[in-house]
Amino acid sequence: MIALLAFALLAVTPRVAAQPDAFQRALELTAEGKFRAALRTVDDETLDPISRAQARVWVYDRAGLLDIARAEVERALSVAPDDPWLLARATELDLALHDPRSAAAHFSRLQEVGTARSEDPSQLADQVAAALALEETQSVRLQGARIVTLGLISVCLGWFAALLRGSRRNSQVAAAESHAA
Amino acid sequence: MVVELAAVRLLAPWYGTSSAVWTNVIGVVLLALAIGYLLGARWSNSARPLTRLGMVLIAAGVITAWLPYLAPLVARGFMPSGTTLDRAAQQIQWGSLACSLILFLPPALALGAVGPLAVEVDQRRRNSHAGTAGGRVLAASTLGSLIGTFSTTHFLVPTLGLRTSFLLAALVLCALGLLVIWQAGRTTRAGAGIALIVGCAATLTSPAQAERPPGTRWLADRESPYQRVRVIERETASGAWRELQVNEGFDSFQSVWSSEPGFLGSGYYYDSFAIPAWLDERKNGTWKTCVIGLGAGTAWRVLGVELPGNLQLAGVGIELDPVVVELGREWMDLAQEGTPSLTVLSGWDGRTGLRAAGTDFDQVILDAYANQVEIPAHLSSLEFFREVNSALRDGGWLSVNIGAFSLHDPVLLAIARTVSAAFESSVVLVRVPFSRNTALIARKGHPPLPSPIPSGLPNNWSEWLSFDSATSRFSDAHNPLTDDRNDIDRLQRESLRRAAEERE
Repeated sequence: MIALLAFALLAVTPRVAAQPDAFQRALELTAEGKFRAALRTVDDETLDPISRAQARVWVYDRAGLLDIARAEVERALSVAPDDPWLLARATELDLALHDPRSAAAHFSRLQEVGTARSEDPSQLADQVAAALALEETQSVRLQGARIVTLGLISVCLGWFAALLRGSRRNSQVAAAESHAA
Repeated sequence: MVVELAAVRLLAPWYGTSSAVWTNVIGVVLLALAIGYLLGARWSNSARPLTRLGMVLIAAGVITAWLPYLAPLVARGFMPSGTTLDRAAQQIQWGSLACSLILFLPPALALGAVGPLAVEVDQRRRNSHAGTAGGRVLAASTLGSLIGTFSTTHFLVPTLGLRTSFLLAALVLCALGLLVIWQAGRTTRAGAGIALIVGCAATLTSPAQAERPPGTRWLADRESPYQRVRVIERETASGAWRELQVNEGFDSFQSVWSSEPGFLGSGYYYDSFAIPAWLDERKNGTWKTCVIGLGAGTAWRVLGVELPGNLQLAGVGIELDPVVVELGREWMDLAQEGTPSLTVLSGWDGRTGLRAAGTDFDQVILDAYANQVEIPAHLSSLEFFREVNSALRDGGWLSVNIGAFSLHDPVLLAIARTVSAAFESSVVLVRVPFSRNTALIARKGHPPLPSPIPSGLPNNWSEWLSFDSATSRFSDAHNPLTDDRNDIDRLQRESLRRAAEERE
């Protein structure tokens, strides 16, 4: 099990060929739970913008601050829109934060640019498809609920108005009959 | 009233019992009654209003008998399985309204027609004035509503269950209808048919249940005076895992139980309840807690083994729903009655329970939610937090679990302002990793976080409490929520709306 976890971690850990030491140190600090030190390392030392962005995403992702990690990944994608690692993380974060449309957009871009060699996109594809299907179902049923509600309320109000008019007419007839009598 | 009150409970497994659902059901019932009154008024002009009255009662009874069978079919139609809590707001609002219209409009409409017909019958039979007849009928119906209200909440639903409650109401309506038709001198061959229809409903209907999450086992499923409560279990790599869920459930839980007591790990806010004990100077003796919203006792199960040094857990737990306490004792190792150091106030409201619980607490934990997402207004006001402050010893701690989408969430900030005003001190907001929960920590007479943060705290808290993105100090005490002006409901809707907007 530990070997499997280690393999999974290796598969998704950011890696860029011949990373400077600062990058590796940031990853190690993150693994030790020293998030502040990891961010300081990333920010203080000389790193190319993509590596820095990847490291920041990784720190927040591992810390469990997923909304911040997502903001970081969006920022990073504006610098490197075709980075497969960033696109895969963006898709995962979108799924974790229940945003299937954004996940689908990121995943579609990921498929266009090609995934990182170590990552198997099929599982991600299934998750995106399931999330999109759920959103579609939700949307259709919400629309159905709105139509049923508005339709039935319209019928009720129309019926109410008709009954009220009929009731007034009956009262007038009764009053006229009583007057005549 | 039986139908109206139980109607919300019928929808609860899919839509919960939030104020939005109550508003929708009450609104639909009022609309149906308004039409029913006019319909009854029209029918009262007929030659045989007594027969019409009987038929209307029988129609209402037959529809009522089938409601528990129809409700799951209709409710599922508007709420897809797999919906998460943060995505369900719109679905709850519109879905519950559509369901209410389909399910409860017909019986409420028929019941609305009963009033004018009964007035007409009374007036014709006794040759009385309209006012006299109307007064008599209104008095009888109001008395009936009174009995229905009390019996539904306190007896019918908790003891007989929803299905039997609806069937009982249906049988009473049908029996009354048949009696009225018999009085009208009509042959009641229809009686046998009606009995058959109601009888079929009795055998066919199944209790309304939310869909079972895959890979889980239901250990218990009970109706309480407040909600539908269930305990589900699944196997994990580290052993059995149980969750106590209420009503619609979605992806949330009210209490959790792990086969190993102690910290639950990332994603579970209960662990944060141990932070104050680790920051406190005292490491010996009894750690006296008051848990408001005890649920099935998860907070105690964590604190019981994770307090530092030689601290021993003691205290009072307050839980509104007695069925939650019963299931907690049965399935989640909640302290049994008579446990010397831990007292459970079962069936108590949080605020009144706090007054009865005593004083000099080392820590008050507030984890009280109504309908999954609603923090009750009377447990989020300045006056309430002042009472909490009075119940604490000098240097005592308050921990609050708040569902929030970020550290800028409007609900979180409003409660932080209120606690800050009540404690006349800054508060600390600590995000719970991998979850949408935030822990608010305040301390009586002292700043909540020591400076520097001690090293060597468990769960990497020394790092977490110093990490700006995860922990924030808050000292704004302006515009606190009060008993008089408390817009927590609006803020909760605002929080959901903002979260949805951020996704767009």
